[in-house]
Amino acid sequence: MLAQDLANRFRSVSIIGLGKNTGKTFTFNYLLRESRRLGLSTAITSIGLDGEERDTITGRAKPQVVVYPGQIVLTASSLLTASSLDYEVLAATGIASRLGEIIIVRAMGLGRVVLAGPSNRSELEQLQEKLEPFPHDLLLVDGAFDRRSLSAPAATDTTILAVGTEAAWDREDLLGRLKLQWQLLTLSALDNQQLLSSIETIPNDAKLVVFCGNTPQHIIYHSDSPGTGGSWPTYTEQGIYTIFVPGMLTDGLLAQVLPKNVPTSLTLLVPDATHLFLSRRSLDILTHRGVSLKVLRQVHISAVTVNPYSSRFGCAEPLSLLQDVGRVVEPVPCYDLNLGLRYVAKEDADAVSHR
Amino acid sequence: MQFLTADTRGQLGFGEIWSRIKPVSALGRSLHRQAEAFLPAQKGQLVEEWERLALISAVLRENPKACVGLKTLLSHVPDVTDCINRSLTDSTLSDADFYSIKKLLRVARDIKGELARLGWGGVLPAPLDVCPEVLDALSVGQGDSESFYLADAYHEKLAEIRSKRFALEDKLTQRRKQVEDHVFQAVGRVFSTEDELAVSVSDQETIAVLENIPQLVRSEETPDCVKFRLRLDESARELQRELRAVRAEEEQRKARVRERLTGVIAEQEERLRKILSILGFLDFLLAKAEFCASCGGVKPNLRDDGVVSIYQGRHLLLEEDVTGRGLAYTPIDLELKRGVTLITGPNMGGKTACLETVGLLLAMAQFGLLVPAEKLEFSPRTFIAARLTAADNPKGLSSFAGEIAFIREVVRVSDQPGLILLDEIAHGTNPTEGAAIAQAVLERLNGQPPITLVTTHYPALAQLEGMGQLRIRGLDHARLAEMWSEDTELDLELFHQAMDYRLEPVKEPHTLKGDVVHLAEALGLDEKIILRAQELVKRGAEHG
Repeated sequence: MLAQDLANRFRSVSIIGLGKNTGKTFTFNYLLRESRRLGLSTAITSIGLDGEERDTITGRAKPQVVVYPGQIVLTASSLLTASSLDYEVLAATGIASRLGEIIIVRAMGLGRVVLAGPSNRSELEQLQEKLEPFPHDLLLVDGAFDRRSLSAPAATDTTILAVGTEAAWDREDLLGRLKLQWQLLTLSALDNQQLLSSIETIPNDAKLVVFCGNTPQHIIYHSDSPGTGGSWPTYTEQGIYTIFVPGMLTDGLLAQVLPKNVPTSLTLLVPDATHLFLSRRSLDILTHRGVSLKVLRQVHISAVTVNPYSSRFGCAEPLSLLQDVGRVVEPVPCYDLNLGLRYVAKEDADAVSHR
Repeated sequence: MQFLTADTRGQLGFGEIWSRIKPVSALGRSLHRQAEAFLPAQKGQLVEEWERLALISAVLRENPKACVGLKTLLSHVPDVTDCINRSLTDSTLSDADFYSIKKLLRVARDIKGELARLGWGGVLPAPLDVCPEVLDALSVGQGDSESFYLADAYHEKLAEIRSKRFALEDKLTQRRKQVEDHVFQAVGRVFSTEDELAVSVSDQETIAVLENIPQLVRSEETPDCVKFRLRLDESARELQRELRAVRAEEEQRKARVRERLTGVIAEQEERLRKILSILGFLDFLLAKAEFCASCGGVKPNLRDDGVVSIYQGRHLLLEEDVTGRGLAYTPIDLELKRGVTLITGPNMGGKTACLETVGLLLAMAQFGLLVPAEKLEFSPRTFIAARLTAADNPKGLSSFAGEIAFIREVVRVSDQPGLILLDEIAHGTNPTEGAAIAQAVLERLNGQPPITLVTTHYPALAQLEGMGQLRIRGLDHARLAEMWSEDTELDLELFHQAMDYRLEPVKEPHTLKGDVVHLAEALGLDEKIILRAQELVKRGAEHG
């Protein structure tokens, strides 16, 4: 079972999606059912939307999650008050949301509750610290589809990516988006201890740092107004350069930071894949110009799930979707949890296994 | 006039110093943000505050970790003001509210114990009453647990109702579990949703097995999958109806308990607010004491004669800056009386630093802090107003206009015992008229209640009688000659080493001593220009 595999290896799992309605909450609920079957004690929360009662993207009421006795729930206080759940308040987190402070409770019976947890990565990290004194096998974090929830993988031990036809009905388009996201999510980590040590010493308010070898050569601060960050370093052909961007790397920022004359060895470095918001075109430019893209910390992905249902076009053929997605993400396991199928690569032809 | 305007705060570095005081609770941070200076009418409270700080910071200097436990407890103090306020309205408090109040009372109880252990009970403005009755009311049936639960013991019927609910939930869960177990054993599947199981049409074997499970019903078929739904019989529906009814009854009982507990909170409103107030005070006090201990602060002494006396006073930010550059920092010694005192001396001799130091030390003292000095004696001021040249003032006419606005304002309040710090008075205009305005202003302020400390380069002002005069000793030419050989260049470091930054009182009107040409040289001005300037200075001296 997927939940068993996760609980054996990790303490926290986030679920992110390739788009809205791609099956994140379905995956989340499925993992809860598996966990219950296995007798695992779980803590549950969500990330991404700031305590809205309605999903700000779809406009639908946020779904209630079935909660079982003993389960730990992290959600906004007003949602608990409105639920029929009998619960024991274990801790108040001090993290505020529009629906009240996020509190940690233990369910004392069966019930249903709406989850509205932290709104960003930093809050999720704080929440995990507050959760520490309360024993649990696995923390499951349901992600909303927005930028902030995409930061969840950086704050959890592992991640599940939900891919659905709602993101793109056209298969080529869908796989193109998946490949781009996959390329970003699976970027390799920098393997240069000296440079890593050097990065630890850079000031917190640095917006961008250019290293020549392992030495910081030029720093632009957040407080620098445009054009006042001093002149850019002169790149020499033999030099080994690394540009470290501690914040978000977007297409716009990339256009600004990429030198016109790229030296022989140039690496663009970000803290982790959740800081990358680059288009296919930008990635192609980097490849074309021989620029390598790396992360400080690799995001761990345990599994990919597929959802063939599209609100506009109906249901896609599930087996072919599983195979198409499975081929892209291999060797990471790919599931259609609804049908209980897992993609298995075979030498002659792809296949699915019934679980 | 406000005791310390935002502008003066910034100019003196008080904002930066104040930001280094870091309470750990929301209550302490709120007091820190809202803190105001102690004014002359609050002398008694000011002395009490210094005494508390002196007691705690002396312990902290001996053992910097003495209050770690106390601070950890304070960091857990929740601000339950909103809960208390809501208890006084028609609304009923939630379990999360009760948890927060219970937490406050548990932490308050532990803090009281820790204060007793440290022997610091006396630092509080009033005894800490930790409302044990309220804590008991919020702990019914929960032992010594930190969590909050509306336990069965809160209501005689609650245990009975819950027991019914558990039985019903268990029955329903067991029924479902039987089917789930059956399905899992038969086909190794977990339900796709709460009530449904979808199977690919390609998996006819599983479909056949599921069709033979009586508790499942084939509910939907698409070209790709077959769905089976959990069959809900009449007895299961009846169980669900019963469960809903029992839950509603449980909610009603719990609502009554919550109402009762809300009433307890409302009744004890004043005592609870007092706890918040004392814990906030304690947190803020400890944060100040930690700061004072870290900067070697001493307790100031109050005087009634309006005199300010500073011995070895240090401006913490300037000291950090100077020592950070590997240079020696010179603390200041001075005595100031009501009326005007002039400070003269060379550029870069530390005149502005004197103003900043006097202003900062008095501001710190009146905000209830111990001060970084060997000794500070003073009478509390009603305001501190500073206009320093180092501050980011606009140039030209607007700078002059700003200075005039400042002077107009301080003249308006010159009947109060304030502290006025004026750097390079009227320097932003032509020297003749500037000196005239400066003289007129000083004559107006002299003899008035405020202490007015003014720096100037105007020779005419140094000739004025009836005003206090202090002088930066300036360049020690003998020392400079000793260090400055033909092999060495005069640079700023050498200049700094040869400069005597100490202040000395000047008894008689005197001629200003500049050392400006030397400074210009140290700052790298062209040699020919320096020679010419020296020649002109010499000629000026010869012609009187």
